[in-house]
Amino acid sequence: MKKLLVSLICVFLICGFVFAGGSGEQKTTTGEVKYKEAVVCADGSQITTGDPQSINNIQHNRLFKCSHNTLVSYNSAEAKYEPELATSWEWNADLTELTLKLRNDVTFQNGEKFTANDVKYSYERIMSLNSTASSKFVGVLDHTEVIDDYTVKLVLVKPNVDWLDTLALPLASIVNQKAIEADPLKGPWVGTGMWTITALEEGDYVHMVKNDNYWGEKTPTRELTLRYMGEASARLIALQNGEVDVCISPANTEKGYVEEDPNLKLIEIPSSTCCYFAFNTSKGPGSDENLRLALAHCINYEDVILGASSGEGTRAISNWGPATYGYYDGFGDYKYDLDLAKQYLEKSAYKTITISVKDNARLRAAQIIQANAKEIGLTVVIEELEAAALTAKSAFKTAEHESMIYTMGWNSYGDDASRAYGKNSNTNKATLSNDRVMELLELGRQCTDDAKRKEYYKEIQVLNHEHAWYIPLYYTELSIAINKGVSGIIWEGHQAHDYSNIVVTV
Amino acid sequence: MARQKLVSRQYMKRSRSGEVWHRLKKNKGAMAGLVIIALLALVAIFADVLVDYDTQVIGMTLKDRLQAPSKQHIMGTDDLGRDIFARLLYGSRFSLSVGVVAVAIAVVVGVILGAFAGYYTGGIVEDIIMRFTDIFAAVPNMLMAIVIVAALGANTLNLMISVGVTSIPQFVRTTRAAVLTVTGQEYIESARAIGESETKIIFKHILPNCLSPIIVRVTLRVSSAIISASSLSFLGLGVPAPAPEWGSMLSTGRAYLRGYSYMTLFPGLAIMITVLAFNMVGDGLRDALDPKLKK
Amino acid sequence: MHRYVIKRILLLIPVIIGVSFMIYFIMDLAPGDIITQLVGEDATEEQIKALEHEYGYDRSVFYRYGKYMLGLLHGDLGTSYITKKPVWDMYISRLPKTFWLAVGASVVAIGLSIPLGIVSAVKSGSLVDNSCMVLALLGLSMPNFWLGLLLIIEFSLNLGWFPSGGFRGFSSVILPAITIGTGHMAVMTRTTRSSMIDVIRQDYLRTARAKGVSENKVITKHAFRNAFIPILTIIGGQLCAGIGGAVITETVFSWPGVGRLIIDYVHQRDVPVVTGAIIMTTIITGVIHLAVDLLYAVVDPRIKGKYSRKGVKRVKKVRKEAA
Repeated sequence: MKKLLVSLICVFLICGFVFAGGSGEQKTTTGEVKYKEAVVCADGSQITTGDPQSINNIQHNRLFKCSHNTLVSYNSAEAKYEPELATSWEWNADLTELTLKLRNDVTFQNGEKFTANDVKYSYERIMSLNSTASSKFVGVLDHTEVIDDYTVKLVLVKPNVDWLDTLALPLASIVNQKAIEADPLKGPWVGTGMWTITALEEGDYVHMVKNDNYWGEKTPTRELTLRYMGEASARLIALQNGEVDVCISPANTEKGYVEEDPNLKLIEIPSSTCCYFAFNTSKGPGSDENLRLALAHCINYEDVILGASSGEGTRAISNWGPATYGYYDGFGDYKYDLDLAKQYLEKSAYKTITISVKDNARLRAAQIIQANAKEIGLTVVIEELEAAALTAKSAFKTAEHESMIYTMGWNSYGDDASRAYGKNSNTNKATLSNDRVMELLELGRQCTDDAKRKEYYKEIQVLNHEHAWYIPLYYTELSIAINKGVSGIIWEGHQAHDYSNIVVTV
Repeated sequence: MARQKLVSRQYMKRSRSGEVWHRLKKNKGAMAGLVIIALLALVAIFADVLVDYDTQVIGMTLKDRLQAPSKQHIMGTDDLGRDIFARLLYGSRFSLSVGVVAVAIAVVVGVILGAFAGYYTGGIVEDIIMRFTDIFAAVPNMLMAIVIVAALGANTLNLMISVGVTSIPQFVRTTRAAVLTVTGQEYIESARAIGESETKIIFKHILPNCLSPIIVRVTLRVSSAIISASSLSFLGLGVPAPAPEWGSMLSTGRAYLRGYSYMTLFPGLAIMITVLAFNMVGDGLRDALDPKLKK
Repeated sequence: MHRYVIKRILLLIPVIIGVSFMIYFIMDLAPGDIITQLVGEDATEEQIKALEHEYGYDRSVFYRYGKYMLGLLHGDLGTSYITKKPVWDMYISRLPKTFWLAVGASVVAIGLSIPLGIVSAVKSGSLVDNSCMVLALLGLSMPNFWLGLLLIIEFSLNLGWFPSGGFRGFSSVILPAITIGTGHMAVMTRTTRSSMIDVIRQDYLRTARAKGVSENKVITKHAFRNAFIPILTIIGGQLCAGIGGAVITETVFSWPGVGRLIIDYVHQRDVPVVTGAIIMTTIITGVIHLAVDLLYAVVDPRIKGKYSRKGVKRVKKVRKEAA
């Protein structure tokens, strides 16, 4: 029996070895420089789908920037829109119709030719999907008109200055009708991008190979894998071992190892992610302005940055993204002043508030705020929730939280503020439905006069500072550890980096 | 006559527990475990006297963060500048109570159900109880605990409930098996003969004689409950901050594992020693109670 | 014999129904529903309504459960809300990875515990016995995520012997297998020890010794063979636990196994994935338990009789008498 068992186990293990296989290193040569053929990027968030129109978040957007194309793209370094699948575009006078000329030399990865009909199909599909992505289109785009094979007209419900920005988001990627009709699951993977998705194991990896029929410039890299590695320490070790070439967000505490390692490089970019304290202003303690201001003046912001992100962050004055259109901080910060805070607290009927949080950095920030508040006699209760429970609890309609610490990654366009301030937005964690703010947002959405538009957005931020609906805490610092030979990535403050041109020299 | 038998049975029991204690005393590992558990219990009970919760356990001095062990902080300080030693002492309260309360829940429910299943064997009562036990046992413990905590929300009480619920099937099965062996014995028949009520028979005559396997299981289960609680902390479903539960200390310290290993070392050791102690006592008890292993 | 097998398999059905009912309801009623996960930040009322209708969230949970079970009856484990993939596909793509891990862990556990247990039993009561038992307990008393990370730092970073995570060939199984396997050691060593002690004292070993069989052979051949049944039970139990997925170890080692499938989708409230995966786990666990019971018959022919019709009747009779 024992022998049988042992031999069985041996057979299993040998099978496993053969089954899983080993991977050999291969290189391509271009002139003098040698490039790695297969590049691997590791991240701590999971990719669950290859359908660009079904989801809108950082890790998926990185994938879709490789596999799909949008009509226009946004160059954040020069702050301007650039042609991608569209060559030029034109607005009508009242900003309700956008006419775009399209490239005529593009084919999909399945060989289909790209035409205006694909644009119409893609945008109609977005609107019908009821996904996280579709809300960007529903209520904004009225319909799409095909003028000819390479001209398309987008008719909007009402004027929207930031519409081009929506078109540049990966969720507005162009997909292929034939592919989707043939295979509803894998069909949406087919795009016009430089990389063809060949395998997607959710919670493990996405594997892509270079699309040889790509219409733009091509890189020497042949294969690109986006791998999920949840534990930050293990992810960095994988980079140090040479198992991966890019490690997104190494633990703040371990950045030193990257700097020490001669084979690695640490990329640090200013982030547009703001961590802020949000009160539920619709009811309970958060609706009391005195309590809000008391808290705003008793928080030791330096300690929060030190404790929550090991000092790797910069104090935020406004809760807007620093690179977001209309950013203003002329009112200055909330001074750390315990006497002032005590005075505010005396005027308040509430002496206790609950903070709902989920993960580590926010949890640490909450603990420091809890200790700070204690000094003025304000009791802070920390409630640790799972992501799904917290999202549901703090959604605009439910709004059962008293307060929470939230981090919002800001995009560059002004109307992104609707996420934080707009009625019905689930990111409106303050549950604000202030009439003046709503009016200002609407004015900003339709205004083409730069100075006036900035004035509207300034007023929103001034109002927030006065009423302390949101207390800005800090901007997180973005860091990425890479193999020294890596180049060609376009780094973005909103973290949806563009990997498509990645090369690794060896 | 029946009464006489009962009396003699009780007498026998006393002498038997004395004998067990005698055998347990000879087991050095078990005795060491017992001493450690006693010490831990003392620390947990007097945690308030030893350290001040507000200033030492949750009060933080950010400028002192991540200090290596020194005279001032013999185990160093954590990422928020709190003294690890003080938190460890106070944390015994949370960690032990999570383990003990979780198992207490499981024992109360499991033993009662198990006793009924064993006593009314062959009937519908047994079928219902055992099918329910099968259902609960079919789901892996950790997954069951995760699902329950996710549903109820992560706090200390729910953590205890979830770990407790996952331990119930073991206690049902252990108790049932033990009850089955006792039920057929003569003195139970005689108790029935003198017309004692069935509940009284179960709780007064049967259960006291089934205690030994249950006690062994309790000691072993407390230790695995402590481990489960720390695992749930790792998944962000544990005792909420800033409470210094060992599992959550260990799990927050993992980001500092490479540079500041003392942040994980001490809570890790605390868990290890506690689990080891409970296991050694459990093993010792099992040996002492098992007449087959008698020399 | 096969009557017994069929009966055992039929007995699985009520368990599956119970498990599915329990998990489906807990997951469905947990705070944070799937609709909030799926809709965008500023979804309109109509969008939410449409989604609620699509997933049956405008009806009661009984309706949704009924619909799910109807599908299950036709062999359909459901479709993920998040990935829109069939749960069966998602589960099957994870199963082999979890299987290798479970096997690896068992190999580690067997390899370490059986020698420890035998030594412990032979030298029962001595210092060697005590230290063996403490050694066996160490793995159990170290929380898995801590041990796992320490192993990664030592063997992956410092020594560079094994990859730091993921499922990439044989070498990637070793570290997670050690992490889980050492946790299994305590129980297995304990069982080996006590069943060996049982056997060592029995008469036929004395006979064997008296016949001049060498002590080593007595222990390894005669004693161990007879002590094997309880150990087999433990191995079976641990394989079952392994098939359910080792959530913690899988998380530390970025191991794309069943455990992580379940916990990831618990967090996202994807009810069909969680329910479906747990149902599959229940079925596979049940089958392994059955297989272990049948293996008993192979190892110990005396047990075979119990599975025959007569045997079952006899057991029932004994039970009745006991009642």
